[in-house]
Amino acid sequence: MLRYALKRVFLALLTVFLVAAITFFAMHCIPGGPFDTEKATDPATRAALLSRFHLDKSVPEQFWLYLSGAVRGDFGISLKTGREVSQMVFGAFGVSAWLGALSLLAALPLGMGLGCLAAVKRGRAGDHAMLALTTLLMATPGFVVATLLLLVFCLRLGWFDVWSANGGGSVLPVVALALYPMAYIARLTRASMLEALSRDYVRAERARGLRESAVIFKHALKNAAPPVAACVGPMAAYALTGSMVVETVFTIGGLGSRFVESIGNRDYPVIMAATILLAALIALFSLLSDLACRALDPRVELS
Amino acid sequence: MKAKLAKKRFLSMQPDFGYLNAGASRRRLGNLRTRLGAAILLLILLAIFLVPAFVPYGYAQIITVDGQRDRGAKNLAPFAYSEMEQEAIARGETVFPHIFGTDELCRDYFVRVMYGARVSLLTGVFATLVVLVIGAVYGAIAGYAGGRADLLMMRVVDLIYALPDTLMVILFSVVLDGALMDALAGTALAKLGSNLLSLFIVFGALYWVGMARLVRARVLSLKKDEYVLAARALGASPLRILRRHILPGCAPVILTAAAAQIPSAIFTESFLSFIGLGVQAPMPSLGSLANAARGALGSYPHKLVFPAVVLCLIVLAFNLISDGLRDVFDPRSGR
Repeated sequence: MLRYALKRVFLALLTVFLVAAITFFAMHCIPGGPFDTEKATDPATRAALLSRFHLDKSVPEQFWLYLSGAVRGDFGISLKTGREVSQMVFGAFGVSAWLGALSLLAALPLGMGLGCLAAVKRGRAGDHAMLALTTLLMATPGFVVATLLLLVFCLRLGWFDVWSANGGGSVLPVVALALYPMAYIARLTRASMLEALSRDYVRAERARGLRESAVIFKHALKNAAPPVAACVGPMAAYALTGSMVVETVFTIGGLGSRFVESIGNRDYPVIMAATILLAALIALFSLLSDLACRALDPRVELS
Repeated sequence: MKAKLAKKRFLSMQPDFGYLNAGASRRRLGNLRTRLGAAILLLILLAIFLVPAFVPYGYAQIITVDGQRDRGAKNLAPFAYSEMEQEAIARGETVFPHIFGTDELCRDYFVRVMYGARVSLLTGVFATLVVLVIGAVYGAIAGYAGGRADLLMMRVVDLIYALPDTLMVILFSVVLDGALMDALAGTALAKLGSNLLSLFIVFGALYWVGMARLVRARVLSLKKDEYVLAARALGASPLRILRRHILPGCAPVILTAAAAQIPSAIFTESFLSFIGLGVQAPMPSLGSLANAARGALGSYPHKLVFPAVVLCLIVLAFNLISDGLRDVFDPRSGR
């Protein structure tokens, strides 16, 4: 287990490093420098600017400097606003983390509940309804869901303000983020629950006269859990990238909308910092969910 | 009461060969799903490739009446006519109805949605083809070669698999937009736009790993089969064995995965369009149409609903097909 964990940690670190390297070198492929202006800049000023931002050094050297700065939390300065990138990014991160955490916390129990229900009622109306609903939800892109929610509940029905930081303002964004993971988890739970329910130990427990609820929730669910745990990582990654869409639709100043904004502005330092931060988070979540999966089911191969 | 129920359930489970029946019924259900998906897809294909031929408007064409630009034909509701068009109708001319209305630049929205669907669909299919070719060849070689080569090749796959794909697509779009703009200007690719091009590049560079894994696993099991041994004993070259004997056996796996890949590519394209990295204007895609509709959501919600519904239908069709194919080919698999 320890060896496996170390290996996974190493892979995660390597991934983040690779993303940082790809991002950095890709950004340097873009023609034009940050100090190219219409008018010719005074050579001395230009040289001073270049050396201030280490742009006179070779690209690998610059990468090293950027990396060592990034480890200390210094991502440079935004081209657009002149503010420190780390301030912009980390400030916005809190909002996104809150939304993402709430949506996953809502999606996981709801999805697993729906999945269990469908598996137990297999082939009946409830099962079919669940399958139809999740099929539909999984065929709808996130921005359509978010925009429709905005249209129906804010503009038409007026139940929520479009966005207010306090009160019920975060309900719709969380719902928009949670629907897809919920549908995915529900389908996964249903499938692995059906598999678990067809096992001999379930039959044996029923033969022993165990209560049906105990069979389902105590035994079958426990065995159906590992695949669900394994999908939490990808779902967290979905919530992170999905937050770009949802935050833009609901005009929330989180990391996602900052990222989209910086893409529109071609604000390269912010794009780089956000990419690296998001990649690190995605790697972290996939690491955690793999380890959780291993802990839940020791039979999973060590590869 | 409860004990009785449990006993009944226990007994009812006893004698049948449930798993065999389950396999057959899954296959039947899979067939049904595939057919339903294919039917939806066929309808959409007919709608987007044949119907626009009968509509006398172009996707970038501003509506004119008698050769004069019609400024009143802005943001019309479905099947509504502008004042100039109404006058023309009163004069006895025929004006083709705007089935989905018009957009804010006086262009026929129905044609734009149909063209957008074409762009989205073709993007999905083409990106999937790129994935399919690279993934299948790579996976087949790794699986067939085995040993150290396989190990090394799969390490590469593991590494690429771990990269966050959406972020990479965004990154490459941003970079290529800056780097390729000048190089592309004037070529046929310029109309496509650097964003779509970078989508294909990223799909070719990153998304093939899933396909490679599936194909490799299948090849590993196929190459132990006796007919492959027989072919080898007869002196067939590895290339011939791969092409004639092993790859055909991988077809179900490849087909299922490809059908699942298309909606994912369409989703990615619409996501990119949404954050402003999509197709080049004035070319529409379903994602960029839906995104443009957000601006006037309160006044013209139908402009979001039409492209969104078409997008959902396309994705739904492919999801049904891929789920169905999986049930047909591999009735005992999970999901």
